[in-house]
Amino acid sequence: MICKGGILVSYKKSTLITLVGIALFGIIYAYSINSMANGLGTTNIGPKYFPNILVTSLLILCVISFIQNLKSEDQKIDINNVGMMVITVLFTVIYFLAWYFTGWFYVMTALFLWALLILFTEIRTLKSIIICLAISVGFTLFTYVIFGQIMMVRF
Amino acid sequence: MEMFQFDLLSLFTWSNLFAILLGTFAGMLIGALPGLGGPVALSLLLPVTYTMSPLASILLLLAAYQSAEYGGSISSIILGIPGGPAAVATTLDGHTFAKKHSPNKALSYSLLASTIGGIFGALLLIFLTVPIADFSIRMSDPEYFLLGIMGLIAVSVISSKDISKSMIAVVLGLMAGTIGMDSLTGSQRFTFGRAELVDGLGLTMLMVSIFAFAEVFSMISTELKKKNKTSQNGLDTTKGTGRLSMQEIKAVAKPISIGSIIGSIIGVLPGLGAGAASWFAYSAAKKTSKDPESFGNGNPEGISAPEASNNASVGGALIPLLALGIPGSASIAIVSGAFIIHGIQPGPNIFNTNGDLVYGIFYGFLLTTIVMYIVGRVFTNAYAKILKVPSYILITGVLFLSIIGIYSASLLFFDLWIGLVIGLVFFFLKALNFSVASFSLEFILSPIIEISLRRSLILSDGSFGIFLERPISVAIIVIIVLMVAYSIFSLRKSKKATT
Repeated sequence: MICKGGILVSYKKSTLITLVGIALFGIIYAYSINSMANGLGTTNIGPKYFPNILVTSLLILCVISFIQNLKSEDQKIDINNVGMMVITVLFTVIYFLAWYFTGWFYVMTALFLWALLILFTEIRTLKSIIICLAISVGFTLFTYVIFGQIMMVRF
Repeated sequence: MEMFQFDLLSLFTWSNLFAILLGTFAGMLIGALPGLGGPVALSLLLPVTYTMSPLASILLLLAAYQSAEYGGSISSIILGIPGGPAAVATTLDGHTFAKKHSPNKALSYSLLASTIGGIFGALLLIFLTVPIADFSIRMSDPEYFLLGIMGLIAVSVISSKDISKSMIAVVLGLMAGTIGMDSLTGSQRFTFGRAELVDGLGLTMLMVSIFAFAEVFSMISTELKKKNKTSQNGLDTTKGTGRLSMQEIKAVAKPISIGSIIGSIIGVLPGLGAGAASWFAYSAAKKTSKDPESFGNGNPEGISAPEASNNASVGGALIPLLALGIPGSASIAIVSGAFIIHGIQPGPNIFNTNGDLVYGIFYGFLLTTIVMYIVGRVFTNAYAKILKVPSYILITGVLFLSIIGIYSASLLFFDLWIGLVIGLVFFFLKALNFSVASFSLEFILSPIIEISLRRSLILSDGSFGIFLERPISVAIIVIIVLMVAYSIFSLRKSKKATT
C-alpha cells in the first residue's frame, strides 16, 4: 500500500518473505559447502564441519521463526521516502561507476555530493543550490586534506 | 605488579594526545546527533586508525566511545530526543529538568556523572583485567568455545525480545565469519574464486556498512523531514550558568555511585551493553531515592544515574576483550577490529606479547575520561548548536564518510559494492527487528568459536565429553544453563502478563 511519501508494508508478510530469503541463502551456502575442498590432512572435523552446523541451525531457526510469525498478529510498518532511497542508491551506483571508469575521484565526489544535497534539501532555490555546491566543494576539500594528504590514501 | 612500572610519560606523545582529542571531538559530535551513537561513531573512525600506531588507534576509538556515551545525553537534554539507545533513560528527567530549570545545569549533571562513571569503569578495568587474564591462562580450547557460546546466548537470548530472529542474526554473523581461508587447513571457503575474499569479509567494510550505511537509509526514511521541527524545539543553552554547587553535587553522589557500580558490572557481562546498563541504573536509583515520585519530572538523580552507568559500562566492557579476547558488545567488537588491523590478538597472552600496549590502554583510558570532561565543559554549548545542522547535510556527510571509510580500509571497489548491498540488506533487517548488534558480535567471535570447537574435537577424537572434563568448563556450562533457564522463565512471565 502506498501512503504519503512512503509505503505501508505488512510486518508479518515482510518477515516471512525475509525468512524465505534467508533460508534460500542458507541453501546456497549449503551447496557451496559440498563443492568445497577438504584441505590437506583433515579429519572429519575439517573446514566443512562448522559451516555444516551453522547452515543446519539456520534452516531450523528459519522454520521456527516462520511458524511463530505465521501465528503472530500483523502490524503495518511505514517506510517513508522510498523514492529518495532508490534515487540515493542509483546516484551511489553511478558515482562508483564514474569514479571507477574515469579515475577522477575528486571531480566525481564533488558532483555526487552536490547531487545528493540537492536531492535531500526541501527548498530548491538558486540560493540553496549554490549553498549545496559550496558544501560539496567543502566536503571534497576536507577529503583531499585529511584522506588524500594526511592519510595518503590514493583514490 | 608490572602495570605500576609503566612509563606514564610514554602516553603523552603528540600522536596519542591527538588521537584522544580527535576521538573525543568526533565521538561527542556523532553521539550528540540524534539516532547516531557509539557504534556509528566507532565504525566511521575505524578506517582512520590504519595509519596510526596501535596505542593511538585504540585510544582514538575508546575516546570516541566514551564521548559518544556522554554526547548522547546532549540531544536527550536539549531536544528530548536520545542520541543513542544508552541515552533514552536520560531523556525522561534530562529534558524535563532542562525545560523547568536550566539546560546548562542538566548538561552539567550529565557531564559530571559521565566523568565519574568513566573513571570508575577505568579503575575497574585497571584492577580487574590482570587477575581475570591470569585466571584465563589456565583455560584452553574447550573453555574458550564455551565462553564463545555463553556470549552468543547472552546476546541472542537475554538482550532480545524476538529470540528466534536474534538467533538467526547470530548464525548469519557466524556464517559471515567463515568466509575466506580456513586457518586450520588452508582451504578456501565461500570465496567464489574472488581473491578479495581470501582474507574474509573486510572488518571495516562490514562494520561501516551495517552501522553507518544502513543508518543512512534509516535516516532518509525517518529523519529527512523531521529535523527542522526538532531543531526548533531545542532549548537555548546560551543563557544561565551550568555550575553545580557542592550541595547539588552531594545530592547526586548516591545515584552516581549506584550508576557507576551497575554500569561497570553490566559492561563486563556480554551482550547487555550501555543501553541496558542505563535502564538498570535508572530504576535502581529510583528505588533507592528519597523522592521516587519526582522521577520522570526532572529529578537530577534521574539524569545522573543512567549517565554514570553508560560511561562506566565502557570500561567494564573492555575487561572481557583484554582478559579473554572476547568482545562483549557491538562497540567493543569494533574496537577489537583496531587490534586485529594491527595484527594484535586481544586475550590473556596480550600481556606477554604487548604488555606496554595494554598498560598504555589502561592509563590512556583514564586520560580519555579526563579529556572528555574538559572538552565537554568547554564545548557542550557548541555541540548543542550543531544539533541544528539540517538533516540533508548530515545524511550526505554520513553516507560520504561511510564510502570513504570503506575504500580507505582496503582500496578495493569490490568492498564498496559489497558494502552498499550489505547496508541495504541490513536496513531492511533492522526494520524487521533482526539484531544488528548480534550479527556484528558473532562475526568477530566466529573464528574463536570455530577454531576452539574444532581443536577441542580433534584432541578428543570427536568426543563431546571434552567439554565436561574440567571444572572451569562445567562452571561455564552451569552458567549457560542458568542463562537459558532465566530467559525461558522471563518469556513465560511476560506471556502470562500479556494474556
